[in-house]
Amino acid sequence: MKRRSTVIIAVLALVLGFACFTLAAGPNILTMSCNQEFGTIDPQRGNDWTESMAMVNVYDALVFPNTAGDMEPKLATAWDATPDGLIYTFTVREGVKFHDGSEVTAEDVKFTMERALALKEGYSWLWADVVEEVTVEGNTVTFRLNKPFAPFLSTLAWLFVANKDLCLANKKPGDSPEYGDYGAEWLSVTTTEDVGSGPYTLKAWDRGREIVFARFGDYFEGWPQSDKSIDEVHVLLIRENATVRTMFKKGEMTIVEHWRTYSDYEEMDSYPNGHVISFMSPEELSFKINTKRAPTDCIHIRRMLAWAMDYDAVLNIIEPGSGKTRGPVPNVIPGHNPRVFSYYMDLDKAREEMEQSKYYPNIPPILAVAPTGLENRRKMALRLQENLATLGVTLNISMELWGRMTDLATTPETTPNIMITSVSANYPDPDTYLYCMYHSKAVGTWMSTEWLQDPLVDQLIEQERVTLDPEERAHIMNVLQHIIVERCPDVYVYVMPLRAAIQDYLKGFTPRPVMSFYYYYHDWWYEK
Amino acid sequence: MYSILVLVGLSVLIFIIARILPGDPARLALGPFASQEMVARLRHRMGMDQPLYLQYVAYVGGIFHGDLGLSFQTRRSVSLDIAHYLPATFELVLVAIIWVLIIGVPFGVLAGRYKDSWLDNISRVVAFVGVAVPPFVVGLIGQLIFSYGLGILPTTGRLSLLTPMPPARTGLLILDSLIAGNFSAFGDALSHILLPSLAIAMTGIGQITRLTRGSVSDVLGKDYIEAARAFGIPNRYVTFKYMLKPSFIPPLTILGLTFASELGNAFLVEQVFSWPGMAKYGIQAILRKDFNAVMGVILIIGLAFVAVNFIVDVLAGYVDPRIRIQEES
Amino acid sequence: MTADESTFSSVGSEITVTRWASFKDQVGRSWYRFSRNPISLAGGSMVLLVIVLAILAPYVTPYPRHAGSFTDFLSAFQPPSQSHWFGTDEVGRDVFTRVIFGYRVSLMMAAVVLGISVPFGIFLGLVAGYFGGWIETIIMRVTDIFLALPPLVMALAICSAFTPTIEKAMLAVAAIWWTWHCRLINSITRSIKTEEFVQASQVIGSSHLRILFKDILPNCASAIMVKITLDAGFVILVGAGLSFLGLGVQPPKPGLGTMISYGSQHLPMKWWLTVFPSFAIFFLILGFNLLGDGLRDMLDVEAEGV
Repeated sequence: MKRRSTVIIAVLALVLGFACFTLAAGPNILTMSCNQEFGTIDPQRGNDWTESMAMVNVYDALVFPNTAGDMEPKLATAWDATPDGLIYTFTVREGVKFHDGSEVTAEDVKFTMERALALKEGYSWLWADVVEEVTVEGNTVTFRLNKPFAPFLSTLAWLFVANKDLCLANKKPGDSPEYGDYGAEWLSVTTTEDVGSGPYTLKAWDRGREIVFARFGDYFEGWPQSDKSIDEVHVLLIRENATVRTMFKKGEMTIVEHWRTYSDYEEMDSYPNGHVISFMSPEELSFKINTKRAPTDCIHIRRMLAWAMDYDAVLNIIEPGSGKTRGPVPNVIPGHNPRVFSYYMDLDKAREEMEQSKYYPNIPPILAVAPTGLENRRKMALRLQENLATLGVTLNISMELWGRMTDLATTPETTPNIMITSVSANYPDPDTYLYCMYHSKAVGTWMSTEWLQDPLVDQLIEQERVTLDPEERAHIMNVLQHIIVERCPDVYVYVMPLRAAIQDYLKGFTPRPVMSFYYYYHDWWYEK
Repeated sequence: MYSILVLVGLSVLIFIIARILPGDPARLALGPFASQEMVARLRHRMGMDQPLYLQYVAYVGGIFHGDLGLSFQTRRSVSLDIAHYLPATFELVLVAIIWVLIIGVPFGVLAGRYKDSWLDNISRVVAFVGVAVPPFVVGLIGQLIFSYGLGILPTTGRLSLLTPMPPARTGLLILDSLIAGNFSAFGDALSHILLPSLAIAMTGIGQITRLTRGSVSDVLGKDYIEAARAFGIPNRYVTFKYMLKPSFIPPLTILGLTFASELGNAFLVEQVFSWPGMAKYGIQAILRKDFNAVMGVILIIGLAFVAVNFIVDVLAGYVDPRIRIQEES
Repeated sequence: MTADESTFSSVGSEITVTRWASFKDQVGRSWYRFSRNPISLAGGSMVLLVIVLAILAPYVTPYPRHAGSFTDFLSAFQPPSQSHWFGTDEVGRDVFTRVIFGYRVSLMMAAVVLGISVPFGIFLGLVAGYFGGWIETIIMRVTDIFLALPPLVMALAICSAFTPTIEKAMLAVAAIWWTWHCRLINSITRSIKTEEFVQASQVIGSSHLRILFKDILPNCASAIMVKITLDAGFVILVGAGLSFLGLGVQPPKPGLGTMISYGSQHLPMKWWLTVFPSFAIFFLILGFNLLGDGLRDMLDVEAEGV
């Protein structure tokens, strides 16, 4: 038995070695790890980071964010908005081909918006309340809004255009008499087809194992690096950090995504064949405090928490390389106010605040909840727990499944005192944070567990959304950030550095301040 | 009849568990920004806005059409998902059962035959260790030694990245690669399944070894063996006909339980080895409160358990006529 | 008829006397058998050692503070050394200390789960076996349903509905564990209830309760004892599995399964985080199994399901 398995393994090693050798001269294959399953590649249904990554690469939108977070032309060659901010007109680029060879038209853009609004999934919430009507004239498409919405242009980066004819050719009966289910069911089952025009096509999909994207030769922007570009991307679902590290070390993994721990990246950076790239992401981690639950409904308790947090330990030891944060908007987002008040660890000040609280001296235990599996958040909570213990305050830590956390967030009674979560940008504008976290209309999600519901904050957010003059809007944003920090609804801990480990021969990685747009395979090439 | 009763009871129980999972899977599936209306729509589409008993009736009705409902997580039918993930788990558990049979039974027979010899002592150690080590520990320590340390076995997955999947016929990679005549894929699949299947099998190996040993030594002490020997019946004949056959009955009857415990172990081991199987899918479903998927997975496990017990009963009846007669009466 | 009655009652008291004598005799013989069996002795001392260590944890561990609210990130990930026998973890805490405190959680889990499920299972098993008929059918079919799923899966499904605290995990496991005891007691009861002394008791008009608890239950005692010992190991095993999957103790409390789960993320470089807690679980479960096996030999239990 033993001898036979040795033989098998030896044969195996030979075969593998041979396979590696032959492949080296073949197409450029890139392997990437991911920590969660792809739920769908439907451009109007996906929303988390893996799904978004698939959308970014398989589909094209009218506009595309650059490294500064400004929108640049993609499928649109030019656009125009009326001064009242109610009508946006886009000229659709001509000669762009979908993966099935048909041409992208303004009609497809219109269909896509209608599809999003009809399916009511994915990113459709961005437009559900504002888009009134979409019209087509020649190669222009016009969006009429029912109220001004300042970040509208930025949100269009998520409107990934779907091939109308192909969707309808595969439609099943559905809510719409004309369009049926918009091809949604077909697209949820297919594993080799997509309805996009983007630089990569869906080649194969083995759920629970890997998803494969292949280069689209006819991509309208062309392939400037020609045969050095990536021909095939295999994204592999691997949850175990140790496995990912080993594969990276052996060169089996070209790029390790950003969901591993600091010590993993530290180790991978030390390997001779690869290095770790790091840039400030638009993702900010905070201890979100429920302002409607005892004892954190008392602002002194909230400030006590902010003073008791060990920011230095986080920035230097737990998440080295992360950025100090000020207020709710990360500094990579244009519109961040760098002058808002920022707490530092001072246990005396924490004690002072505690003594001013109406609950003093019998402060009820504070409950903090962090998602299971994220070691660093647990460490931060443990550190805070230790500091609070010296003040005589009990902090209970509970590690909860992510699903359970989103459940808890639906009412103020079930929301724990503290939720340790991070919020990322869906479009590079402070509004993405301020609205989702603090507006009364956005309560009930994991992003808004502060339950702030403050009339002044609501009013300013609404004002900011309809203000089109950039200077005036910037002013409102600045005031808004001051007021929110004054209310102390969060302990803002740090801006997450986004780290990815890449093999040295991979070039062209381009950071962009919008979720998953930094994994745009078209940017990349091999330099072997 | 009796099996059907168990299944019906199981479906009710699971339905209750799945529905008391507090909170709203629809919201979870739609992402954080879904409006109330979007959530309500999806709930309606999944039939979640109806009274519980109607939901149950609809669910059971669906089962007969092979329809287990939609998964919130993958946004497609649970039956499709399970059909996709089941073969990997089936392969794993099947190989584990084979381990149990080819290690546990012979070992137990030898230990029972040569009671209190060094072999018997080893069997004791194996049995105790097998039952006392959590399967995920076997997996992790196995990885540490054979994958990280010696580097002779792969850490995770069913197949190496560079090995192309053989064309799916049975869904079992070991068989598929053989059918395709692809021996490198076969070897690769074997090397991947070795550690996880052993990790799953450890408990079963321990139990079956002890049980077989016990029943062999019991049978050996029986008068009729002595009598058979005294009659001068050839030793080999006594061993097989009078000793082995009856002593297989007790281990056979607990094979159903072994199977169930292996499925349970799969929930831990698939996690350790990133094995893309149904248990891993089930855990994801439980974490995300994807209740149609949770129910689907649990139902399939229950079904498998009932089926295996049925097979075991038939086999036991074949080996031991007394059981057959008892059941017929 | 009356004459018969008196004979029966005298027979009853005779049985009690002989039972007591044989009990004393049996204890002596059993202990002899137990002490002659090195395996059960080893198991007994392993379990005893763990229990003593767990109880005295604050006094026998080098850094009792590390089991509570304590962080020292600068001394994180130290390999085993003289000051830290099992190394330190990702927060800088002494792994040896946490393993010993982790035993408290495991033992507590076993005690609570069995404390709830055993009496419940015994009661239902007695009732089902003694009364038979439709009562038995219902109870036993319900246990069949529970047994159709692996305990871990069932507990996982139940557990996920609530906050993932150790208390809820215990309840979830207890909610399924009673079935095993129920089946065991049911089968013993069924065989005992036809024995003479039970029938005698029935004839002299003892109440059902009296028969169940005075006549039948004591005869299950040795089987239950063996079963509990073996089960303690299994419950700890299932508990470790649950906490490995993230349904365990809350930080900073140390739990062995949780420690392995966190530690395995740092394989293979920081192997001590995985290896020592793994060994600790193994040691305790092995202890219970050896002890249970020894008890079985000693008490001569050969009942179905043990």
